[in-house]
Amino acid sequence: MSRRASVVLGSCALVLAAAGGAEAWYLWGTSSPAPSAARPVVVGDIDAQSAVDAAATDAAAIFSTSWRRYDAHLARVTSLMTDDMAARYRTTAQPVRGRVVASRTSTLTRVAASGVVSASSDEVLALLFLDQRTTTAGGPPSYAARRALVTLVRGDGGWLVANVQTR
Amino acid sequence: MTLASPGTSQAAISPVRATVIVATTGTVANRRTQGSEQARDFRFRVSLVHERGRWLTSDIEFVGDAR
Repeated sequence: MSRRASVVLGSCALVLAAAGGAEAWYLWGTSSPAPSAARPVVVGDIDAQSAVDAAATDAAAIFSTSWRRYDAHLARVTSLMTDDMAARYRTTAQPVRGRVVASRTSTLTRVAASGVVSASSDEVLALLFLDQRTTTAGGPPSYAARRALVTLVRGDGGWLVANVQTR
Repeated sequence: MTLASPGTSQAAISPVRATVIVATTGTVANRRTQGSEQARDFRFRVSLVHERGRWLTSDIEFVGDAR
């Protein structure tokens, strides 16, 4: 091989290596941006909306309880949560069980409105307006208009509820 | 009436229109409360349009409970 051909081949190899490196940096080397006050949502509309929909579905399930199926409810909704959140929820829910069953209380929750407060690829904060209808011992229902801030984190099988703040 | 907004979130957005939901906490004092400040929480749905380079409120809707 002539010296000229070696130089050309070497240059081509260098250009290809540089292009490959640049492609690898573009694909894997950049971390996704973190949400900020100026830009709280750093994912696309579809990703953010799917996370908010998951928050709404999960919150409606978590806050809809029946004295008839309290234990089954507890088992079902803790599967929607991170391990830490599930442990905190069990700690709070177990002492309430006796009162709910004794008073034959059922609460149905529906989400009246929902939106995204902040979102990254692995954590979403959603604001939900919850309408609750509660009946006790077959009496007339009472109604409450609440709001909830729900934090979701991305787990292996999808979004998991990591925190809920209600008011 | 005094309001603070601990929760505001984007419910839908396009380049020219947006809807946000706002959860407020605050106090109200009027003749009915005999002048004393009482805590009130409100839920609003606010519509906005983008005009002349800025977002303007086009509608505010109170979101009550669905009884």
